Amino acid sequence: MIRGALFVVFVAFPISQFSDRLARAFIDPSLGLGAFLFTLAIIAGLIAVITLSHGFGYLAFLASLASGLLFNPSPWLFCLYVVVGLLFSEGISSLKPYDSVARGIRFGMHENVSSNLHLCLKRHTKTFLLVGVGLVVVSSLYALLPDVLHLATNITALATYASIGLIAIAITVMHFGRGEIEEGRL
Amino acid sequence: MKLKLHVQAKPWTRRAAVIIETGIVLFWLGILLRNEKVTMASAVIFSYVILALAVSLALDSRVTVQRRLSSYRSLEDEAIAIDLSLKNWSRRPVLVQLKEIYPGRSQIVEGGSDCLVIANPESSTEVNIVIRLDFRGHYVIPEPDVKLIDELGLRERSIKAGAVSYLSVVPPIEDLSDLPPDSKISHPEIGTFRSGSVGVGTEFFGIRDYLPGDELGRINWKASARSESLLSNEYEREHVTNIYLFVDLTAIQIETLRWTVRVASSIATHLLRGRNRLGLIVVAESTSHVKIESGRRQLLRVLDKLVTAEPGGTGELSTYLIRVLEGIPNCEVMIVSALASESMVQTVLAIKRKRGKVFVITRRDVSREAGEQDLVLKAATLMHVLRRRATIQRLRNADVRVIEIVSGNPIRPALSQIRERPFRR
Repeated sequence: MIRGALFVVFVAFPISQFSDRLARAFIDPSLGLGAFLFTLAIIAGLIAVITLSHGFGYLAFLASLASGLLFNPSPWLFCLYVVVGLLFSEGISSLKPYDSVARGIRFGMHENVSSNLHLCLKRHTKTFLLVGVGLVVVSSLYALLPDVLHLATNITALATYASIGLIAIAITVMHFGRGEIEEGRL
Repeated sequence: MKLKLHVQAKPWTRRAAVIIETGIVLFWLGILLRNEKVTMASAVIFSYVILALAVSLALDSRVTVQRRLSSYRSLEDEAIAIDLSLKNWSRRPVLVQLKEIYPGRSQIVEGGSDCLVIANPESSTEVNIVIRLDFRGHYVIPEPDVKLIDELGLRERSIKAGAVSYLSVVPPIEDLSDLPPDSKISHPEIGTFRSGSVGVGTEFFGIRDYLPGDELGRINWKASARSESLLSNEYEREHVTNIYLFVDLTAIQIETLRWTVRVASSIATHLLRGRNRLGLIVVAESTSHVKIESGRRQLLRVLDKLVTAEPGGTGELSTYLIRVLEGIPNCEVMIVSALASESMVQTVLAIKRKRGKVFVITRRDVSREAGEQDLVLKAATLMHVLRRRATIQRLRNADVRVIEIVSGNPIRPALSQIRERPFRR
């Protein structure tokens, strides 16, 4: 059910937002390339939904990202488009361990593997929704940042995003190192 | 003073590494192309990673796993309940991925070999699985593969938890204790052998007139009072018969192997419980020999040999087997065999030439004879049946007693046909 909902959002959101650009795909070459990549993203996404393969999910995300750049929407719309693609790709891939456990279960009176899996899936859904909502809010803030800060040029906007990116990378790297290196004495 | 940096394995999964690398590439690509949208996409990706790290469960918990089996010795096709107890020693919940590797011939009846469990803080969580093993043997269940993961699968940490479990699966043993007893005939024992008891036997044999020198404890006072003359009880030894059991495990078909081991185990158990002395020779990939003895320990030795014997081999009478036969005078010989190969038939005939009385217990697969629909296969099956009947007739002509037991039927009715030793005394 989760994968179905993710796929519906992944397909419906761009179609609803970029319908005018998709309609002009045969006129404008860059929009045509965008439409082609969007179709590729849908096909890869469909395969990812069926197989829960991270490779196809990742391909779908990259194709949707590239098509989003070619459609040239507003920053806010682009941000949401990236968020939808990313959540689709990651959401589908994150279901793989749950699916492999569910496939191997033989139901019975004396087992509790299925009930444990049910609890884990509930936890996954809750966490994923939290991350999804948080990401939509944060991305919207990113998109609205140039307006809030009254950034006139693209260069200043780029510098701002680069700064945000650097901070995010720093936080990730900090987490990367935390608890991983222990100092011991011989 | 030396300092040593101990670096642990990184907890990121390959998927997380790919998404982080994509973010870094997009970041630099955005700066190079001076495209704020590409840089923004990079920021979105990193935001996802940071949010996922912040919201999902941590992996720094200490978890131990204990595996308990309902029985460490079970019968073929018997359900074995496996309880995995996960103890989370930390103050935070943790998501645990458990992977069990069960033996190749096992079948999961309930549950699964892979499972995901949320271990609550400072408490134990149980995982219950039921498996079944359909073939005898000693099995090793390796320690479970335990990983702490987060809900979104971005990080994982393998931990050493749990221990190896050992499981022995023995063939089901049919209870033959109600085989009707026959008249008791004394049987002379020739030669010396070890006895589990000191002095005369303890099993009641009969009543006779009192003879001077008889112990007072042996006088049957009630019978003496009735007959008005002193009568003494007579006892016999516990060891009734010496038997050698030959088990042919050269067959290839799994059903035949299972049947052979089941029948041999049931007969060995019955005879040893009847206080007989039993020896075992398993003709298989390598010939196994258990020297003739009696008692409970002998039963365990015999069952262990039957459980661990590797099927295969040609069934030819080896020099070793001939020497064993020469070294066991005055004993009955019973052979459990599918009579699948000519060499095994020759072995039976050779044993018959060396010994007086030989029993062969063999399997008759009626379902295979009747159930074939394909004409070619039916003809082949018919040929097999005719050949087999000819083999059995050949053995009978050589004065070998052949008892056929229909596969799937209990062996008790077939064995009750035997009116001679070792099943009758």
